[in-house]
Amino acid sequence: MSFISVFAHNTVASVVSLVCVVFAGMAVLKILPADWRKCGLCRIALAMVCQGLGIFIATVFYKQGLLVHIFNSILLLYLQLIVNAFCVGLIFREKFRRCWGIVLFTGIVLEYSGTLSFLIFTDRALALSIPEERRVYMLVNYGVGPGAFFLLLYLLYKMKVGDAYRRWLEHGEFWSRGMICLSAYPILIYGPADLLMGSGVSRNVSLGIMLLMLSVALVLFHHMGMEEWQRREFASQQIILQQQDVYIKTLEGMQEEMRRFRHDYKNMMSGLYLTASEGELAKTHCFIQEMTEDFDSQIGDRIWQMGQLGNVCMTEVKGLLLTKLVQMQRDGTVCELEVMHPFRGTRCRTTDLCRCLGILIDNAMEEVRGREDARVHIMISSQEGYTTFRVKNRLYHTVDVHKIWQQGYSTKGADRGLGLASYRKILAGYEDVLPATAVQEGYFIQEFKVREQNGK
Amino acid sequence: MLSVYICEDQEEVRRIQRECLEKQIMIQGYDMEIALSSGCPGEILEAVEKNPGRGIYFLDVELKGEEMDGFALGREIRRLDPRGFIVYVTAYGNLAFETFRYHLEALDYIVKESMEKMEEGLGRSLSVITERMRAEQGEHREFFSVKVMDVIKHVPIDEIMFFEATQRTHRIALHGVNDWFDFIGSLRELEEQLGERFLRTHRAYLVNVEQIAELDLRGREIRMKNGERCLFARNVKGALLERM
Repeated sequence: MSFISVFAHNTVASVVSLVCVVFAGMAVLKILPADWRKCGLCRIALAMVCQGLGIFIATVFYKQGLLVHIFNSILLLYLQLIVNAFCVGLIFREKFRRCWGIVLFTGIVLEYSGTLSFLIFTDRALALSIPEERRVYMLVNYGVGPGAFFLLLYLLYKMKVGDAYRRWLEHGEFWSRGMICLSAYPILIYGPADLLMGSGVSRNVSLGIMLLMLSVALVLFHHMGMEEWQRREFASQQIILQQQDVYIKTLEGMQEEMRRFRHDYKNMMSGLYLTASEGELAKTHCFIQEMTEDFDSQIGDRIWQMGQLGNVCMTEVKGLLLTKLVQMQRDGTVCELEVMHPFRGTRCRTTDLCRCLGILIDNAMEEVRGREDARVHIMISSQEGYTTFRVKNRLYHTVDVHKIWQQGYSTKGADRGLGLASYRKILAGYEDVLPATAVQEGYFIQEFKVREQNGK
Repeated sequence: MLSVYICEDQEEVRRIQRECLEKQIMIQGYDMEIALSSGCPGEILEAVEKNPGRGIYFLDVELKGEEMDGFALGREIRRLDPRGFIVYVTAYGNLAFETFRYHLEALDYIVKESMEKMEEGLGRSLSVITERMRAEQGEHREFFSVKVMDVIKHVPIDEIMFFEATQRTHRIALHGVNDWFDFIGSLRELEEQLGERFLRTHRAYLVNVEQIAELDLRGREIRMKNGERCLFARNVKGALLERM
């Protein structure tokens, strides 16, 4: 085969693999945006140049007969993975580590679909210089292989493997360890397969064994991930139990105060009775007012707050709010919580909702901590098919509304402000959640609104 | 003349409120009149419907024996009179007032724990409304209003930097001096709605020309007065330079 025809073949193969990566990144992993408008022609052109360079190197490798050595084949596979990750990052302005995750996921699925297709159609390596074998190669490589790939991808999508993988990608602590293992998949498949073939085992059997081993490794990997996930779930349930314990203690404390007030109330009523019997109207009036104010300051406000909290029917959110209320009480911050209608749930995932709400409340608490008349206002309003979460606090610093989303921006010193960047990132994953930030009359207001299923 | 409506289920309190408001209107010489005081929300809504225009509404939060509470009544009134002034009157000191303010743009709330406090609250509300009307007359600021799910947000046009098409389909982000929020819409419709003050500099940006600080012609970036940056397409360069 001439250099040009090999180059053309490689170009088609590279384009197919890049399309597969982009498709998997958009549809299954949902990491890449489905919006092409911001891609930019220059970036696409640069990505094409990179692909061209990769294809050129692959063609030279083939023409020079370097692919006979398994080491070179693996090297070339890594080159293609890196070029694909770089191109996706360039086109979609994504970080390399996320793109690398997408490329590895797609690579493994492609490896499965491609190898399985070849195992069915042929029992040996095809010689591309023979037209007949080249036709089989093309049919499998560009027809059956991609078909199997999309079928496999569909199955993974239905099994929600893509979502689990994305969540896993977002966890920085697991990322490095797991990603190193996953990155080794070309070596793990082709290295031992080559050794087996060298010792006389047929190509199909060697590749079959290696695919089986890879499957076992992936299942183990998934199992370990699930164990870690369950450990975290257990830890979060423990936190919920602790929060409920605090809730019960708060209610018991209120009951105790009610009991005490009932005792005082009897004494007060006797006083009131005497004053009224003496006909002192002004004094009686004053007495009643004092009594009402006492009730409000002693228990009325707490009953009100607990009543609002009682309208939160999601245990996790209730627990979060209660923890924050206790923290604020400790800090001497007044928290005005408003949940006018019962809040039973929302379309956001509970963990995401708690993280977002927690970030907003923490920021507000930090801003007002130690200030005179420190006050944080939290509103959860659920009505007419929409839920609004709103946190408001007085501002003691100047805030650049457009800068708060930048990672590391904070009015409170360096290495802070990570919260809002991840808050924005979490919400960006939802179609029906609209965030809003405002500075109004000296207050900083953060809110996000969720359109529920029945919303208009 | 502004019509004043009172909705209060306790007859005695309603009478006191009416007398107090009439007294205040007469003494201060406000351009207002009591249109109706009733314990029935239906009657109030009927009267507002028959007499369209900006009004002042003093509404009891808890309306015993009625299908509608003060919040629901406020919502209906807002539909009929988007610019009216709604003041809530409540027996309890702790009212979820932020929720009322957020959804109904309620002006204030008065606690009817004592006659003096209620009278003082009613007088204060009328004075605040008069002040606000006076300020509105002197102001010719234009606002951009947009529905964000169940509420309508208003942002002064001169405080908007640009609109950005986000990665999500049909979702637009408004970048303002004091606001940054997402809403559902399209840049093309906004372009038509906002007219010449805004220029479509890029597929993803609609920029307030008056807020541009400088252009980076090589990087094809626009720096806004608040320091934010957005992009412009090559074919818009001429129009951009001309407009600046």
